[in-house]
Amino acid sequence: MNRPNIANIVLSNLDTLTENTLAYFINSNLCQNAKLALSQNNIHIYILDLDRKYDEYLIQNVELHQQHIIGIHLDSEQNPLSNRMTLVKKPLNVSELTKAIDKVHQELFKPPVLPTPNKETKTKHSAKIKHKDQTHRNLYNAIDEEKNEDDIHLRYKAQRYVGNNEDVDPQTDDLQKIYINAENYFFSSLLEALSAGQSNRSTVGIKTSLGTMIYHYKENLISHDIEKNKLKLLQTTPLINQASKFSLNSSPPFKEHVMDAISFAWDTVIQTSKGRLPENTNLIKPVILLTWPNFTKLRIFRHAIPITALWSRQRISLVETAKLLVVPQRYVFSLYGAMNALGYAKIGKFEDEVTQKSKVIKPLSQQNNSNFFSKIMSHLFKRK
Amino acid sequence: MKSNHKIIFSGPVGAGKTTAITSISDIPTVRTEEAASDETKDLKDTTTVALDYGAIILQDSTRIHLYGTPGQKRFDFMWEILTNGGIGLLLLIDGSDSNAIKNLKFFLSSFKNFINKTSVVVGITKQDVNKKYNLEEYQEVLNKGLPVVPIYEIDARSKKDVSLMVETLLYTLDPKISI
Repeated sequence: MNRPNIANIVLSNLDTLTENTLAYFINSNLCQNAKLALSQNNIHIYILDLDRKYDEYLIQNVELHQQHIIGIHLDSEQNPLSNRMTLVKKPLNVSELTKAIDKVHQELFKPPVLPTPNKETKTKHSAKIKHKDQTHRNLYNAIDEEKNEDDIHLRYKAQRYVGNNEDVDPQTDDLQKIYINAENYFFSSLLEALSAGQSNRSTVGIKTSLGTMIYHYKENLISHDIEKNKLKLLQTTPLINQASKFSLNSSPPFKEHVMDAISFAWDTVIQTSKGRLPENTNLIKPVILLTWPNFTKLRIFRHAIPITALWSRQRISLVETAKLLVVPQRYVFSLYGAMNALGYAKIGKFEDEVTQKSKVIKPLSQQNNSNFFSKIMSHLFKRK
Repeated sequence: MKSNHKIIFSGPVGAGKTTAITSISDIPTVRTEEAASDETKDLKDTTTVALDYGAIILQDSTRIHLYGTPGQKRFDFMWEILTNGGIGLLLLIDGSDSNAIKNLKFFLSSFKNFINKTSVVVGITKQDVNKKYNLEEYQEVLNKGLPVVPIYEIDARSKKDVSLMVETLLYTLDPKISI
């Protein structure tokens, strides 16, 4: 049944990933004024990709039916093709898209006259808006595309998972953009389920809004019934008020989609991280590497090995790591986030740094081998 | 002038040293194998008696020699000779051997001086065949503060896995290498 004062949206001529992402977003609690249309009878808004082939008949008819179009496009010269069209530029920025939906919604439905809220309601409302803005900002950081500079390093395709945040100065910058609230993401439930399976020596079922997963603790495997595109959504998109639930059970494994649990968990954290850190991670205290990750089984991205190598020999902070290796902080943050989630690394105290100060790297570059090592690496990469 | 650079592959009999060298060598691996005798014959038909040799040849013709040490403990006098001037050690341990942990400790201790001067990366082979220990159990042996020793489950036949070991070795020696 269509709800009153909720705009019904139809997604038209979008590529599969965009369509799935938008469908997930629109049906989540992040999108308050619209939902996907359940039938063709009461459509208010079409979201149309103007860079792909679209049905011109649809544009001609929106006026007739008092409907609206949100056209997404790349071209900065793009003009609206109808006076009932609102444009949103790619790459899609969630707050821009929400703004467009809200604008159309206002035109469609007369906004209700709200009574003046009392002080308590007002405070709650402001907190809610603040939370929502933050979530939008986080989501934006999560879905934005990587920088072109990264594209050239084909070996490390996973570099796309480090996002595009600029470096921050912990003393002066607003650090909100580099933090994520783990509880809002699937990986948090996943890690909890893995831990419960191991400690109770039990199979664990994980129910999500997109399907079910089963963690088989003996084999350390995960099987699931979730489509590939939806799985990626589950890994990367915030699950506001839709947290996954897990329970100890003895369900038989799904026959298809079986994955190594640790590799999947690592992958999920990396995909979620997008160059951000779990909330309250200290940027200037030293990182303690507890275990070298088994990189033959885990997704690695650019700079992951040198960063780990540095931490394996030296207690050094996240910010100093990026500075010393001359790499963008987002690479360091993504790697640390994944290592921390899987128990490979933690942030220590200043005392740890002092204790270990004498143990620092003995670079063979003293023997001027750095260029020579670079040549060996290039040679090995070329052949892979 | 051609430089003399070498990477050492070591580990017990049957760990996959010869295979690992072959998987990244740019030249056919030179093997000094003989029919196995003593306890080795239970593990494989032939074994390395002096050394294995392969090489990575860079564009400017520089050779990085890849030396595999003989696996038997009675050849340990060879190990010091071979490691002299080496860049670092790739230590392979047969994960299907019930003595794997003992072997790891033994080889770490035997190459202690060389490792202290350079670096080591451990590769556990045959984990998919008949794994005797989990990776965490090996990690417990290795992780005693700094430095944290890199350890991977590897397939010695995989160029990708062995290259990753070499890459890791070089980065632990100098994390600031740029490529």
